[in-house]
Amino acid sequence: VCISKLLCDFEAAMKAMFCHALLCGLLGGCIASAWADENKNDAEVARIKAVYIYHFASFAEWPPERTLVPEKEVRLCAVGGGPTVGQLTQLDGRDLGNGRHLQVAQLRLDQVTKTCHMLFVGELPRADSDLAGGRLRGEPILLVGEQSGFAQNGGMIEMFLRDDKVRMRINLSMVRAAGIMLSSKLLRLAEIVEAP
Amino acid sequence: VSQRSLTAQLQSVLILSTVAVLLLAGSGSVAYEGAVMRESLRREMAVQADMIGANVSAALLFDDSHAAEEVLRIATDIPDLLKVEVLSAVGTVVATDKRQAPPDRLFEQLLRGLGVEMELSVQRPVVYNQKLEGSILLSWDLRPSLRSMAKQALVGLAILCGAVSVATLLGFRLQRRLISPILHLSSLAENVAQAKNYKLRATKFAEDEVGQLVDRFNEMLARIQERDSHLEKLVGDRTAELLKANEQLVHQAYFDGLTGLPNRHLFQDRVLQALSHAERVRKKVAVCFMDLDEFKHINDVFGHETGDKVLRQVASRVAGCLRDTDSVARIGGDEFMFLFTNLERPEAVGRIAEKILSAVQAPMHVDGQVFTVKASFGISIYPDDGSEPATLKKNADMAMYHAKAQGRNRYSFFTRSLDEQLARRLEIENNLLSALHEGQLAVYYQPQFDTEFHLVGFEALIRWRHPEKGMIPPGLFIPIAEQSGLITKIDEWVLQSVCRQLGEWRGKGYHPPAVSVNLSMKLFHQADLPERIARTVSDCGAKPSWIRFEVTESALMENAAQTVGHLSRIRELGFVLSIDDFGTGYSSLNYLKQFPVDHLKIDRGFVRDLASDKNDAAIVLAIISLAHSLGLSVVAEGVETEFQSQFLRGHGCDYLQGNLLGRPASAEVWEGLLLDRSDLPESGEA
Repeated sequence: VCISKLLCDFEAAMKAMFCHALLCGLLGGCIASAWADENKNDAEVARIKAVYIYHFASFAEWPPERTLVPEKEVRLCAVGGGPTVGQLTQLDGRDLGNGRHLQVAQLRLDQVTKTCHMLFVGELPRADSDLAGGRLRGEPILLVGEQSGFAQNGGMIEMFLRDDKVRMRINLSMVRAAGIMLSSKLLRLAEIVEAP
Repeated sequence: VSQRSLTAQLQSVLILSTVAVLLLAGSGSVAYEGAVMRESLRREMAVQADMIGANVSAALLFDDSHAAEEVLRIATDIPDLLKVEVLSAVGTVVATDKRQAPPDRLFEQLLRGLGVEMELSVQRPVVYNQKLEGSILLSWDLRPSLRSMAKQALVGLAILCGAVSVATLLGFRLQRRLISPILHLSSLAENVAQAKNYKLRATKFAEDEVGQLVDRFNEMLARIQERDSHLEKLVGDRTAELLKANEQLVHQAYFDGLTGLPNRHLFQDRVLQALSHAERVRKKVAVCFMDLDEFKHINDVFGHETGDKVLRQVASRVAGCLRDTDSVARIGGDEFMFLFTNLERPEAVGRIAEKILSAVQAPMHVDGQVFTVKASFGISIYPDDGSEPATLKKNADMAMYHAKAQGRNRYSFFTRSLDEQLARRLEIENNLLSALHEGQLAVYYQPQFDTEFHLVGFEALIRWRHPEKGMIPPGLFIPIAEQSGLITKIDEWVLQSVCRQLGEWRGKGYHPPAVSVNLSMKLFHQADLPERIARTVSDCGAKPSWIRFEVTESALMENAAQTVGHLSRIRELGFVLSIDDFGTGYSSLNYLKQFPVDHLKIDRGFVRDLASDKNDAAIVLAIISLAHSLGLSVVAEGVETEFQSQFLRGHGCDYLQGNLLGRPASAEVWEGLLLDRSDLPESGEA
């Protein structure tokens, strides 16, 4: 828990650190178990993120010219590494409702083509991710990432942790520019970022 | 039995049924509306929940309770919503929104106390992509709905009150329409019962059931009226019959059935009335007693039917003699009583009595026979002879006996001496039988002579030598003996004595002439008189030719028809007969011709006055002439003077008897005289 706070927001992390440090300091015995919790929690967050990504597929509509190939298959491409990408493979073939299915493909960055409906950007060097963003800019591919600032920097949906929960930040300009429609239900839950 | 009036029953039925119907309908509609309301509410809530679910599904998917709560805040601006909750698929509360419910009102507290549900909860699932993502729980406040229903119920209650008033009003109208004819009928029935007036009729107001009842009631009244009048008539008839029967009974009680005259009871009443009236007006009243002489004889010989007819004739004759103010009653047998009122002088009764007696004794024709009824009449006067009815009757009775003793067919006033006479008579009657047995009676003999003064017979005369009172004359005790019936014994005794005496004289060698013995009329009532006489005579060893029987003219004529038979038989037996006291009775020459007699004996009354009374002399001559023309010899008795003796002998009288020639004396006295007759033949025809 303490680690994820550090990752999310410095200020909050400091507060949490202070708290945890105080708590840890008072109760030194709990540190070991806290580490074990952290490992377990990483996997849990990854799993939740995977589920969120799956749900994004159902809240999104692609432009008509971007026909689903093969029919009614939503192609989810994943790049980079990290626990979340590992979880995504489990979503392959999942039913999305309305007769749609999810097809998951793990690619290298350069392998990413316009055939992907969604692209999850895992742990990548910053440059790569910008690049990828630059190269696929304007394509009707829903870009989902988990790096901090992903939404401001050319991404579309950024997942982050707040209050121990996975939250979303959506760059609505980017989504619109890509011609993708996101359900208002989803938008209501997310922080909206307007950035070019 | 219900004590409540029909009105009250009708009223309560109307009100109860109204209340029941309205309550049922009201509660039914409230219950139905409640159910409908609940159901529509539930549907509405389901819709609301589904809407919320749709809005919140994403928040559920992304585990965003803030977003969910935001959705709830926007979506749940719904009135009466108490609580809305968003639950996760595993049931944990994701978001909740609660409203502060207003506090319970009084009636809501009451309903809650009764266990009425005040909230309605609905839980709806939230499904996304056919997967259950969670649920929405809605809780609804029912109180506003209940309030509106309560308002409705209040309105219903108001309608109920209105309906009850209408029912009451209707009840009163119904009462007027239905009950008042019945009340009219009831009051009429009461009137009929009280006044017993069955002519009353009930008025019919309508042709309904009550109208039919009125018809039946009137029919019933008509029947009762008919029956009543029938009964009235019946009672009237019965009453008339009873009155008639009563009159008959009264008549029977107060009148004699045979003659129709008042009986002794009515007479008693009339006497009492007459006496009390006489006392006030100071007038005299006569109470009289009348008895028919020898009436028993008529009954015995001719039968009671004939006797009754005779009595009826006597009654009608007697009644014909009376004034309006007089009364006559038959008080039994042949006894009558009379009541004469308003008398100034008692002597007047004597005239009436004479009138009655002569009316009675006029010959009457009954069943082909001619009867001559005679009566004796006794009179007693109020207040001279008594003031009490009983005394007056007793004295009248006594006077009547006196009249009888005087020789019958006459009337007699009561006198004080009658009282003494009665006492003497009773004494004589009491003593006579013992006198007969104790030898106080004796037979005296009075001689009878022919014109040449030869002894031709004796008349046996009875004498009573009372040990204390001395000689009692036969005129005193013979009538009493006749009335008491002792006379038959006395006559028999005399006959026996005479027969014995004759036997004794003959035993002594004398030749006694025939002896005359008097036969009382009473003896002639005996049907076997001739045989009895014959037996008595032969028992003494005497012969019929020794005895001559004398019967008085009045006795003979009293019952001439029967007497003739007896006399003929006696004469056939060999006895000689003579008529005694001739000239005093009312001899029918026709009977005289028939009577089988040998002698006539001129009454001593004519002989006594021969010298002074030319009429008597003429009668004596006529009798002598009559007797001789009928072939009878004549005996004169009571010869006491030489003139009488001369006259009688000179005018053809056959035999003489009297004190001039010989006083009655005992048998021994005459034995000397018998000596002169010793040369005469035995049975001298005297």
